[in-house]
Amino acid sequence: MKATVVVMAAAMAAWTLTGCGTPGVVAGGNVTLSGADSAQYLDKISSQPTVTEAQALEGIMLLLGQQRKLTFAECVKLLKDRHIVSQRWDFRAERPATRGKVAYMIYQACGMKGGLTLTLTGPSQRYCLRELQYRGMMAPGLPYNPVTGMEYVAILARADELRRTGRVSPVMLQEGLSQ
Amino acid sequence: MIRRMPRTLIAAALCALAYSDLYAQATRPTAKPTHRVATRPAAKPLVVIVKEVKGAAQRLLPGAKSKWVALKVGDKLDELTVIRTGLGARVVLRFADNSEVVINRATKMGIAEFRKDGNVTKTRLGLKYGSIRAKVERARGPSDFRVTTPVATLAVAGTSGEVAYMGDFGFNLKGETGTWQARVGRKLRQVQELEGLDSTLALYVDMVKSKMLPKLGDMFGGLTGRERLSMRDNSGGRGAIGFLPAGNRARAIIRKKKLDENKGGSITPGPVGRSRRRRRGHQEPPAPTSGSGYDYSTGAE
Repeated sequence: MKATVVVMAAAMAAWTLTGCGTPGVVAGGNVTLSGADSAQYLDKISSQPTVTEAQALEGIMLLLGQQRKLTFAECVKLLKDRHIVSQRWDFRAERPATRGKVAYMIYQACGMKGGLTLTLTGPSQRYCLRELQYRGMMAPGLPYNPVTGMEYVAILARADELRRTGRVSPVMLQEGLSQ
Repeated sequence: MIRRMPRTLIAAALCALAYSDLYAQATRPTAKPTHRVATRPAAKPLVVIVKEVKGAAQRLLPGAKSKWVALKVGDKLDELTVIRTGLGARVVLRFADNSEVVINRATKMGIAEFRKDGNVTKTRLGLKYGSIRAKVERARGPSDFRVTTPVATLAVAGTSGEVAYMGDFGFNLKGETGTWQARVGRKLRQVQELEGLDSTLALYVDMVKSKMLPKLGDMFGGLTGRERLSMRDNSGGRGAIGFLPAGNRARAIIRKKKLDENKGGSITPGPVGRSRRRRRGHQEPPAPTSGSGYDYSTGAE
């Protein structure tokens, strides 16, 4: 009885620590990204209720100035090498991207420096989202909710300005917040 | 007898009124009036010139098949031109009245109207997403300059300021010089120099946004039915990207579009019209899906 409890507790702890996803798996890796320029990409994304992970990663590539026609797997590898996406994530090309993942990628792509928790524990979806919300770059919401197309366009626009100029103009931020 | 008296009087009065009206109609001269009606000179469209282009910026060529071409310095733009910019892009437009509009990165906007109406220069811009900085010239005469976003109409009574519409926070406005008026439905807010919008309009913006449909654009070119309805219902002036006039004319255009679609158009109707179509017994075409089975219109796999 005691051994069963110990085994169950260990399994529970392992599951909690590793998460329920399968890290490193890339589903739909041969899906080809559109390779469109950023104006066309943003126009298309703005019309969509959700953004797929493939499209979200393509947006990050455009943010980094990489307009290339890659497959989803190549894109994941490239972003993993640059530490823009986490090594622990699993990827599915057609799954809607969540706000947490988008926040993590934007945080890493912009080279932001967060608060105490982020400094001590490293970037995580939850705290990257909180940091971006604190800076007025993302709207309130939960990390596991999907991001809408119009919202992603707005986030990319702010991130692009931050990367190029080091600040975001107040008119693009949530009222009352400024960089 | 006393009670019946007023009724009799009223009936008599009505008869007298009817008779006098008929008499007046019979004796009215049928000849056309000889005096000349003062005709208003037709509004004259003006031209916008592209002064500066940096980064990915394109404009939509009007026509049956929508085609985007790269924007170049010196391009002359007419009314109903739609422009989109990418990341890191910047476009400066010089209007014929010397006004200047800077289109910032990640923006889609349209020139709905730019014409001389009498001595007033009328400018109507639509902003679908992104931000623009407007500097309005008033030295050359009165100007009626307005920017329409999906949730609000902004009128420039002053000279310069920056307007943004973002899909998450709604619209924002920073006045630089002069006074701006932000109107959301019936709510009006004045923004003075160096002021921004505060939370007084936030509730109204949220209300308008909650009425709006998430799909504001169309990935297949042209405008969707949902987009047209959303623009008609939520935008003042012409539509958010400058395709539609307001009021009865907009309804007439939408009605005509619907007729065209029913005759065999290729635009897929959105969920707004579904219940009505079902009641009428229409067959719904299948929702557009990608090759991988992911339905972009609903977000479901």
